[in-house]
Amino acid sequence: MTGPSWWSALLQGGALLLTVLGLGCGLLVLARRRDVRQALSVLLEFLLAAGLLRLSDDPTYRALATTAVIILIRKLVGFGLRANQRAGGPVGRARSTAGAVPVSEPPSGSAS
Amino acid sequence: MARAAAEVPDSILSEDLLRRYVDLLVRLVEAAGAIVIFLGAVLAAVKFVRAAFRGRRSEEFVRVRLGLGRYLTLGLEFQLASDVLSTAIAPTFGEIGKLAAIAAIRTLLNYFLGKEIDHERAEVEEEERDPDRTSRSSATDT
Repeated sequence: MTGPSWWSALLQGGALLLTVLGLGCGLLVLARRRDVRQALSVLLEFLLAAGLLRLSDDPTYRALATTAVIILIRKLVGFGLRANQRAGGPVGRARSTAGAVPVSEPPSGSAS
Repeated sequence: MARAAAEVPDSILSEDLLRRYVDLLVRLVEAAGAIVIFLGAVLAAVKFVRAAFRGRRSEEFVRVRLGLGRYLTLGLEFQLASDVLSTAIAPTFGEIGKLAAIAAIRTLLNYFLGKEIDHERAEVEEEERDPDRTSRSSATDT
């Protein structure tokens, strides 16, 4: 359903803002946790939110296909990284060695 | 029955009027969904930043992600409601097809998001019950 142009512009702007926020949060999680899977999940979650906002504005077949592809990629990347972590692949090893901080460790002031 | 419907004057419930009312409702409900998604994402971003500066614990980030997933699910519920409303006024076959595609995507997403939230919540609860489990497993991995 196509609404007024100001609403359309608002949705597009909102989607763009969410994409930028997703990139920022993803990088922040990567920097703090050194966990690629978690950082990617955060980024893709925000991208999904942006895609849903775009879908509210202009439900063309192109927008539909884009959102569907984002969902598919999100699922594939999540599945691949989980499988990698279970198998102790590069990403899994990187997390357990370079990740350094076990999740049960209480937060310390020197964490940087 | 059909005669009774035909006797309703156009000024009270004309097709055009009904279409306009439903159209307005669809826009309102769709807008509510979009607002929930947007506000949920912004709130989650703020919480991510706060969690990053407070500490590096994984549960904090997972909890914020779970919160964002819940907002997305809530927004999707609104949008699905607007899709259902739209079926009352979708006149052409092309519009119905598009509506079906959107509803299918949103329903699938809702389902997967719900499953993911359940899975991650179970993981967080398990970690809270046995906090040493993750550190033990990472030690055995290496």
